[in-house]
Amino acid sequence: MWTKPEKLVKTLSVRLTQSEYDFLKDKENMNDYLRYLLQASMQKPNDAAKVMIRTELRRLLNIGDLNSPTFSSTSEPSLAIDIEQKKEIREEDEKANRGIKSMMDFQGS
Amino acid sequence: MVNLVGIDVGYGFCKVYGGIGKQFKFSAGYLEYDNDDFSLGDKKEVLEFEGKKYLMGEEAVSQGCVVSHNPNDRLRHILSILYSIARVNDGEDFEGDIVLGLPLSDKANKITLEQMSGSYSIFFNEKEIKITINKVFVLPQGGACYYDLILDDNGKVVNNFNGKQISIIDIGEKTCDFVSFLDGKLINKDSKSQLFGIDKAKQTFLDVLLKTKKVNVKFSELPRYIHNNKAEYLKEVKKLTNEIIAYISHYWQFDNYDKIFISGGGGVDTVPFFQANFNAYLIEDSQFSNARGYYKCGQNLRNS
Repeated sequence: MWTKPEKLVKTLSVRLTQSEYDFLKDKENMNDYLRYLLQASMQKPNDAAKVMIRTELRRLLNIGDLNSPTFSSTSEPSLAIDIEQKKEIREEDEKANRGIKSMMDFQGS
Repeated sequence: MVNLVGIDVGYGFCKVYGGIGKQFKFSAGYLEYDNDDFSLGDKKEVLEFEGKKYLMGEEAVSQGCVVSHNPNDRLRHILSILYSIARVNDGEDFEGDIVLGLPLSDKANKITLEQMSGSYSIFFNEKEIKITINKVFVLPQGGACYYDLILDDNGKVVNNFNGKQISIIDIGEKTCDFVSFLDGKLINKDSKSQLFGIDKAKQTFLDVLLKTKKVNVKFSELPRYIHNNKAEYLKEVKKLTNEIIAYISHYWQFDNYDKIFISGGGGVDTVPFFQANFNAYLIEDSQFSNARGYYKCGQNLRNS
C-alpha cells in the first residue's frame, strides 16, 4: 500500500521539509523499512510512529546517497507540528544557536 | 518592510538577501563622480553619502571603475552595505540589523565591520533615506553556507547533520574558504582561507587570450569572451580546481567527510572538476548561499 505524502501529512500531522516531501513523492526512493513504517502508522497513528518516520527520513536524507548533484536548502513552512516535534525543533534550534555563536568567534587561518 | 539583511560583500559581486523575494546582486565597485562627468542611464545606481556622489554596481563597472581589492577599504564596505539596504528595502527608511561575512583569515577586520552600526543619511535615487543599523553580526564566509543548508528563513532548523562531519568549499571571486563542521560545530583546525578565487582562472584565461588571439580584453568584456571561448576558460578552471584540491589535501582527508558541499560564485564552474576527484554537492543557487546563510543565522540569533 502506497500512501500519498499529502494524506500522510494530513492524517499523521507529520511535519515535512521540502526535501523530505520530495523524497517521499518519488516512489523509487522508498525503502522497505520506511514503507513498513508508513503502513503501520496509517493503521494506528501515534506519536511514536511519527517520530520513527521522521527519524528514518532524516537518516535516509542525511546518510543515504542523494542522486542529485544539488542539495536544496529551501524549505516550505511546516504543515503541522506535534508536541514532540516542537520539543525536538527547539532543541535543534538551540543547538544551532550555540553553533552560530561559537562560529562568530572564528579563529581560522 | 525588511528589518534584517544578509550582505555578502564580494570582490566580484555583492549578494544581498532580505527574505524570500528579496534577493539580488550587483557588481562590486564604486566610482565617485561629479554631475558633469557623464550622463547616467539609470539613476538607481547612484548613491550620495557624506556629500559625495558615487556610481554603484553595473553603472560603475561600465564607466571603468576599478574594484578595490584592499580588504581594509572601509568605504567599499560601507557604500556596498548602504546601497544594499536601500535597494532591498525599496528605497524606504530602514531600521534593523545586518549580517556580514569575512574570510576566516581576516578576523582583524571583524571589529571594523561591527563598528558600522549607527545611523546614516544617504540619497538613493535622489531621495533622502535614513538608515539605522542597530547591530552588525559578522560570520565567517563558508561557515554561513552550512547554516543556509540547515536553517529556514525564520532561523529554525529544517535539515540537520547530527553526528556528521560536513565540509564546505566556498569559492569566491578573490577568496577561497574551506570550513568543516562536526556535529554542528565549526572545526577551527580544519578550516582555512586562501586569498585567491575564481578570479585566478579568469586572469590566466585573459593571459591565454592575449597570447593566442592577441586580444587585450577589458574586465567588463570578460563574460562575453568566456561565453565565446568556454572550453579554453574551463581548462583554466580545471587547473584552479586541482590547485585548490592539492592545497586542501594537506589538511583534509576527503574520505573522512560525510558530505562535501561546493559553494560561492565559483561553485558552478568548478564543481564538475571537484566531482572528478570526490563526491561533491553543489549548493543550490550557490552564489547566494553565504548571503542566505547570514540572513538565516541573523534570524536564529535574534530569536535567542
